[in-house]
Amino acid sequence: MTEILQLLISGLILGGIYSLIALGMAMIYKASDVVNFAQGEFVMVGAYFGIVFHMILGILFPLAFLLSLVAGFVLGMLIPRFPLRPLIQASPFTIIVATLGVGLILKNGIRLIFEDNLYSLSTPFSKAPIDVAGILMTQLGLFIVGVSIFFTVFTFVFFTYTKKGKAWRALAQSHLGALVVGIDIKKELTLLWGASAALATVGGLLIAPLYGAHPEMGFIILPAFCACILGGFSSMVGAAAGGFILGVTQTFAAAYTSAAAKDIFAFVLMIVVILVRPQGLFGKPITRRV
Amino acid sequence: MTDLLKNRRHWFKITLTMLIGFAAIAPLFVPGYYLYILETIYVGAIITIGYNICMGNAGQISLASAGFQGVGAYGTGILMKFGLSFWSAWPIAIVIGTVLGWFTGLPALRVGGHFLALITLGLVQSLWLVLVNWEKVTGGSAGMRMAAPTLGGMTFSLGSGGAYILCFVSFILLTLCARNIVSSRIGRTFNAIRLNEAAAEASGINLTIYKTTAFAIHAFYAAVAGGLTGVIVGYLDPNEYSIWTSITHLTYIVVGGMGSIVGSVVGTVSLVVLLEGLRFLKELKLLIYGVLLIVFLIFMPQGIVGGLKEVGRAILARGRKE
Repeated sequence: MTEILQLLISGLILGGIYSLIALGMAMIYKASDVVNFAQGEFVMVGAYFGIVFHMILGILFPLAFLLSLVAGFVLGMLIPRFPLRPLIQASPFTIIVATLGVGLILKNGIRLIFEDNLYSLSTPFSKAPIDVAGILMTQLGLFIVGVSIFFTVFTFVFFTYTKKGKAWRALAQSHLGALVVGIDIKKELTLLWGASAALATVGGLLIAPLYGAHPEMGFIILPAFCACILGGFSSMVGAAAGGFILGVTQTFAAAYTSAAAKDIFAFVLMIVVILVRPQGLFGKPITRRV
Repeated sequence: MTDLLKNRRHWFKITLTMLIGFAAIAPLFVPGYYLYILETIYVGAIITIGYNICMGNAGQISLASAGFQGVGAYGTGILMKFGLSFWSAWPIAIVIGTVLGWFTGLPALRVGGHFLALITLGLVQSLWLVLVNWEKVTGGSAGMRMAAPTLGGMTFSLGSGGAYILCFVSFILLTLCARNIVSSRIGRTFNAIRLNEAAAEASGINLTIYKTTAFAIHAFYAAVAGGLTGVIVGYLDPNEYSIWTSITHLTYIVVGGMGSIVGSVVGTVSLVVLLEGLRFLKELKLLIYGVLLIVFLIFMPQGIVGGLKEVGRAILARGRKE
């Protein structure tokens, strides 16, 4: 029993991070039908923001965290302006390739500056295990779970209760309708991309203390995609829930098979969901229009 | 006008024949290092041609080219480790790769666009994970050596004329093959599927067969090239078969021209040559790919070949006016 609970806790740590990244992706997909293949690189750049502000410039952790968020937001706002706006009428293929291009530029830009070194991000939270009723936890683990749940809930509250959130939901329903009621689509999309990149930045800041920051860490995009598909790309609740479900199941799979099987497991799960229930667990059925 | 056109075709054929002739006897006078670059071009072009048929002609998005290439390369290498000769290991690896490609086509029946890209991305990364982690068989992240193939006392060793000719002949044969596929019934069906899937299905095209065929062709070309990679490098490095290699091939296509065999070749040649020229930049290499991708998508979505065609058409139109 304690073993299962122990795995559940580790799964939640992983799942929280996934769900933040997946949430950012689902947000963009709903509002503009773009799947952002550079989201993993946003996570990576976010982690490096943390490294620069906290480790290199020596700013206090909470302040560095906020500064990184702002930097991530600004970075995200650039994407719809530079590569995507000229391609507004383009096919999904073109847009996929464009986001891949953005990812390439970000990844190798970082590699150019920081080279292939592994940087670790230290936090005020200790990694020493605490024993709670036989289950081992760390301050850092609790911090990660707490922050990821906080930002997930914050996103939903924002989308449900604020005027901006309502405007963003309107974008997801119909661009034309949004235009009619006076929503500035270009401006709102820019902000939405910013918000999505900020969520990815949080993801990066939470991964870096655990595994360090490295140019290749954009790999995280695969499980995040899987989380989106599991929950349903057209549902934000689904993406967030999918992240947690995937994190927990992956941890169990890794514990009972091998650590390397973790990501392959995510891939197999993704294929099965796409073949059996393409709309995901929470999404609405996909209809094909002729 | 017709005379001129005839003449131009004439000249084009002569130039092409001479180029192919020179390429065939290149090992006689080209130094080893440049020979290797030419081999890289042939191998890259083979992958790109198959990739382009699947994406440019049939309109099925794929990011799995590096995965299929890896299956071809490691399949050949592993079977040779078990004592098979290159000439039996290579075809078996190609068959395995093609079957895998056929299966990859199955999800394409249910989903398209983004989701297909996701599935193929997942596939290539999973294969890469297998290559890195299955140390007993693949040698893990250290990679594995591949012995040079021999045929009746002749060794196709690294940098030898034999290895070059093997790549060159494969390239020529597969290019001709692709030309026939594209201009045949299959090619026309692919175009119909790309332009309007529902209309194609309504006019009696069996989507199951043709979509899976498109992926099988894509995988076949990549697996053939994979086996050749082992011959020209002599060493298999798992990191050569990750998603970033697929994106490299994608860049060849976008720069050269979607849905065009000439475009695939032109894209491969220009980028391989460009990067050899910019070798001293090392880390910037992939950064340049990223920038090129976006610049071409925005300013020249038809690639070099499409762009040149447009220029040619404009010149002809002006000539007619005068």
